Amino acid sequence: MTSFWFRGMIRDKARFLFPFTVVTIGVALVVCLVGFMEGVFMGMIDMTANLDSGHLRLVNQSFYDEEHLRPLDRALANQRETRDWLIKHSDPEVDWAPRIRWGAILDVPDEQGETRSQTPVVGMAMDLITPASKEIQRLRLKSSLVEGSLPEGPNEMLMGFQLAEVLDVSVGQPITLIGQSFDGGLVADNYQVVGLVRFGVTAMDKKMVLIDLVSAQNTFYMEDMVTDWLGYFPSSASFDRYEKIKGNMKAVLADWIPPKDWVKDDSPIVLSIRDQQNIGAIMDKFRVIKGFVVGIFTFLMVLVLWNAGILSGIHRYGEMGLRLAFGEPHWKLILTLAMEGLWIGILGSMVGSLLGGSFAWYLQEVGLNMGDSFAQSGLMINDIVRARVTLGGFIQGVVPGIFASVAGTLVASMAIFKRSEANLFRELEAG
Amino acid sequence: MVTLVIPCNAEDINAQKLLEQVDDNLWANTKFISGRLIIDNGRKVRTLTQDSWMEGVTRAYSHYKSPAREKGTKMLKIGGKLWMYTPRTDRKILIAGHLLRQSMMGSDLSYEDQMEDHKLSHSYSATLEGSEEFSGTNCAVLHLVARDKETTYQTRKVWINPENQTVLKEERFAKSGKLLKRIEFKDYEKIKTRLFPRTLVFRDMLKENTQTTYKFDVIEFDIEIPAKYFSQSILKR
Amino acid sequence: MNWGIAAKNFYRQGLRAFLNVLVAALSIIALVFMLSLLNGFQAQATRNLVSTDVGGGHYRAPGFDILTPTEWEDFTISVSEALKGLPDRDKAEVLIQQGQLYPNRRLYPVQLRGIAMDQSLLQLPLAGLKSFENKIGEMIPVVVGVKMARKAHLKKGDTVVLKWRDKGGAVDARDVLIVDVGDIINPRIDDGVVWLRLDHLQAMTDREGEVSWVAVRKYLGSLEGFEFHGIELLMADLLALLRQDRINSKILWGILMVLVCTSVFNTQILNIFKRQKEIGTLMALGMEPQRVVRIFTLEGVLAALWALIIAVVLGVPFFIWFQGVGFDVSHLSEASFPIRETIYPDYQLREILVSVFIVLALIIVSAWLPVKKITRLDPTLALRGRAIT
Repeated sequence: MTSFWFRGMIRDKARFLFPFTVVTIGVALVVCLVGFMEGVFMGMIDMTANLDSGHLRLVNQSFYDEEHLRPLDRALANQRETRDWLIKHSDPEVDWAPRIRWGAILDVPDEQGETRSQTPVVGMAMDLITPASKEIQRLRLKSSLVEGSLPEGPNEMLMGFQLAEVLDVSVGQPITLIGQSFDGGLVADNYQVVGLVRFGVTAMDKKMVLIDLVSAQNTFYMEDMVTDWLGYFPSSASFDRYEKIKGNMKAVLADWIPPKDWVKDDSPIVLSIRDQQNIGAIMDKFRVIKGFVVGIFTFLMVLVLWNAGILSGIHRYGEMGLRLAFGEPHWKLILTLAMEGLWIGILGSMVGSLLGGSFAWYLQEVGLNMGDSFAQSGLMINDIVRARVTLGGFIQGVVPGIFASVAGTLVASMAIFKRSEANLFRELEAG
Repeated sequence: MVTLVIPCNAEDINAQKLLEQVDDNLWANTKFISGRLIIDNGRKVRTLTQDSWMEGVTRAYSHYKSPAREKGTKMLKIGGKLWMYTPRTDRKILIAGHLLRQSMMGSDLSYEDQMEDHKLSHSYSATLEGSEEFSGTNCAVLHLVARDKETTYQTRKVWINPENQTVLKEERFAKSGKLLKRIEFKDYEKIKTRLFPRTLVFRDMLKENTQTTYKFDVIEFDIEIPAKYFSQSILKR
Repeated sequence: MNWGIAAKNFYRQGLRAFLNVLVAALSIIALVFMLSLLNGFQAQATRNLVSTDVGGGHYRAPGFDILTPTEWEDFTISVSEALKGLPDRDKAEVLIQQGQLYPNRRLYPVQLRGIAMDQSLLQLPLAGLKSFENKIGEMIPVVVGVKMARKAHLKKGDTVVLKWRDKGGAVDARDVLIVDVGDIINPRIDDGVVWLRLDHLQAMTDREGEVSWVAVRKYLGSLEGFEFHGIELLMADLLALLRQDRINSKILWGILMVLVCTSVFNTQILNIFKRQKEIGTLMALGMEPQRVVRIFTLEGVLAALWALIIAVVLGVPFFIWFQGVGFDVSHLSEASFPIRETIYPDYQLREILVSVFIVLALIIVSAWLPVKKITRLDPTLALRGRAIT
C-alpha cells in the first residue's frame, strides 16, 4: 500500500514535482545563505586565527602578558610532551601547530658582505617544510607568493613584498638575522630569501617575514621550544565547539604535571580566539545579525512553500472529493496529505541540502573569484568569496523546509474541510 | 651601603685634574684583559668569557671564548665604528644606528656603552660636588657635564678616592637628571704601576632585577698587540 | 481595461497576494537597510580616520614611514611658511618620535606623538594637555588611549618613567604624568601611542619647529620639500576591506532576490493554474493571448507597486527608528577597525532608487515568465481546465 501511494505521489507531477522543487530550492538557498554568511564571517575570523591567534591557543602566561616585546625567554619547552598533552586533552579534530613569534633585526649585506641596510622586523616561525604540515595551506602561502618559491630547506625565508621593496631585496638574497636568543644572548644567523609574499595587509607586507620552525629553533637556540601552540579546528566545527574544547582543556590544565624542562614559573594558559582581540564580542553581534537574516529568509521560505502546498492541494480537489465520496474520513485524508507533505519536505530537504551544501562546499574549498586585480593577492583579505559548510546551516535549512512543506499542505487541506464533497466532486468533473 | 655627607676641604681638590688622573690610571696605552661577563637578567644568570685587547680608547678587539654559542664571536671597535663577527654567519656586521642602542649580548650595557671612545676627562668637564663616604672610603664626588651635545649621557657623577685616584662608583644620568645607570668598581688591585678594579657591576636603573658583572681575571698593561687585531681582516674564521 | 481586470484579479487573490507583496516589501527594506548600513559604516570609519588622524591628507617629511619606528628620528621637517600661514582649524602639526615607557619597571616601546594644542582640525581627547604651560614643568603631562592604558596597566594620575633620545642622540628620561586616559575612537592611534603637547615633545627632543607631518584640511598643491599623502593612500587598507564588504552584501542580497523571485514565480504559476478556465473563456471570447499575458503581467506589476508602497509604509518608520537607535559596534575597535561608537545608516537616494528599480524589474520579470506560455494555450483545453497540469 505504501509503495503504491509513494509511486502515486512521485508520478503525479503536480502532487510531487512542484512542491518538491520549491522545497529543494528553498532549502538549498538557506543552506547556501547560512554557509555564505558563516563563510564571510569565518573568513574574517580565520584571517586572524590563521596568522595570529589560532582557534585555540596555548601560551605561557608571562609570554602573553608581554607579547609586544616577544620575550622568547618565556617560551615553553618540551615540544613533544606538550603536543602529546594537547592531543590527549583536546579533541582529535584539532590540529595543533607550534609557532614561534619573534622579533629581530634584518641585516642585508652587499656583494662584499658588508652591511648595506638594517631594519627591525616581526617574524613568525611555523612548520613550512614537513610534508604533513598544514601551515602552508592554512596561510594560503602558495597563492600569496608574488615571486620565488616556498622554503624547502633550512634557513630559508619568506618576506613581505613591500619590505623587500624597501630593502631592495630580491629572491636569492642572503640576509642575516640579529636578535636575542632564548636565554637573552646574542643571536646572528644567515638566511636566504626564497620567496616574496603578499599578505594583503600593509603592516604585514612591510614588516613581516616567515621562517620555518626548525630553522627558528636553531637560530634562537630554542631547541624543543616554541612560544605558542595554535589549535585549528576543521572548517566544519562551530564556535561553540571551540569554547567547549577550551573548557575541557582548562579543567585539566591545573592537573598537568609540568614537563621536566619547564621553568618553575611557566604557567601555560588556554585561550580561544574569542578571548583575543575581543573577537568574542564581534562574534556575538554577528550571531544576532545572522539570526535576523536567516529569520527573514526562513519566513519568506515558509510563505513560498505554503503557496506550493496550496497549489498542490488545489490540483487535487477532485481526488479529494472522490476519496471523501468513497467514505474516507476527513482526518485520514488530511493525515495522508500531511504524510505526503512530510515526505516531500524530507526528500526536498535532502536534495536541497545536497545542492546547497555542495555549492557552499565549493565556495568553501575553491571560492568564487569576484574578479579584481586584488584577487590573486590575498592571504588575509581578498576578493575570493568563501562559504563555510556547517551543521547549523543544514539544520536551519532542513527544519523550516520540512515544517513549511507539512504546514503548507495542511493549510491547503483546510480548504477541504470548508468544501462539501459535492463541491469537490464537481471540481473533479470539471477537471 | 651607607652614604653620608661629611665635611671636606673641597677647595683642595681640582676636579678636572683629578678626573685626568683617574683616566691616566685606567687607560693605558695598551692592555689585555681576560675576563668574564656575568649577566643576570633576573631569571637566569649567564656567563661569557672573553679576551680583549685595547689600544687607548679608540681601538679595541674582543674575542668571546665561551659559552659554546658565543664562542668565536668577535667585536672590533675602530674609531667611531663597531663591527661584529660571528662564526655562524661568517660575516662582519656593522653595528650602527638602531642596533647600537640594543643590549650587548643581553647585558645591561648597550653596544653604545661599549663604544665609548673618549676619556671621561676629554668629553666631560668636571666640578667638585662635595665628598661622601662610599663603602668605607671618603670620596670626592665629581659632577661631570658633557662638553658635546651629542654625548649619550649628558651628565655623570663619579665617586673618586682622592688618595689613590680610583673610581669607586659612577652614575650616568639622562639630560633631565634622572638616574639611568649605576656602575660600581670593586676589588682594586695593584698591577704593575696601576691600580685596577677586578670587578665592575653595571645596573640599568630603569629595569628591575637586572645586573651585569665584569670580572677581570687576567689584566696586562703595555703589551705588544699584533697589528692584525685592529684590522677588519681579523673578522673572519 | 487591462488595468481594471488585472487589479480586480489581483485583489481577489486576497491573503496570498498580500503575503507575496509582503515578501517583496520586506526584501526591499532589507536591501535598502543593508546598503545604507554599509554606507554608514564606511562613512563613519572614514570620518573617524579623517577626524583623528588623516584630515584631508598629510604633508609629510619625505621618506617618513609610520611603520618604520627606527627611522622616525631621521625624517622630520620644519613647517614651511605656506603651512604655517594656515588657520588652526585647517592644519594640525604632528611630530612622531620613538620612546620607551617603563611601566612597572618593564620596558614598553612606544610611539611619542606630539600634536599642536591650538589645532582644531583633528578631534582628539587631549583637553587634559591643553591646560599645561608650553614650558615643561615638574612632570611631562601625557595622555594615553583606553587600549594602551589597559595593555600597559596604566590609569589616570599614574606616573611612569619615559625614556627617549634628543636630536643629538643624548638620552633623556623623566617621569610622565598620565593626565587622562582618553577615549580614542581610532585604535591605530591608541595602541602603543603616548600623546604629548607638540611644544613639549619638540622641547624634549631638541627639535624646535620640527614636525613629521602636517595634516591639512585640503590639498594645497605640491609644496617644496614635502611629500603629500592623500586620503586614499592613508586609508588604503580600510577601503579595501570595505570593498570586500560590498561584494559580500551583494551576494547576500542576490540570494535573497532569488527567493523573492521564486515566490512571485510560484504565485503566478498557481494563478494561471487556478484560473485556466478563466483564461480559456477570455480567449474563447476572442481576447488575444498577448493581452491575457499583459493582464497577468500587470498583476505582477501591481504586486510590485504594492510591495513598494508597503516597503515605504513599513520601512520608513523602521529607518527613522533605527536612525535614533543606531547599531552599536563598540567591539570592532578592539580588532583595530578605526571605528568605535554607534553606526547610523547613511541613506543615499540614488543608490536606493537604483536598487528598488532592480527589485521591481526582477519581480515583474518573474511575474511574466510563467504566464508567457499562455500564448501557446489551447482555449478548448483551458476551458475544461486541462491545458495546464
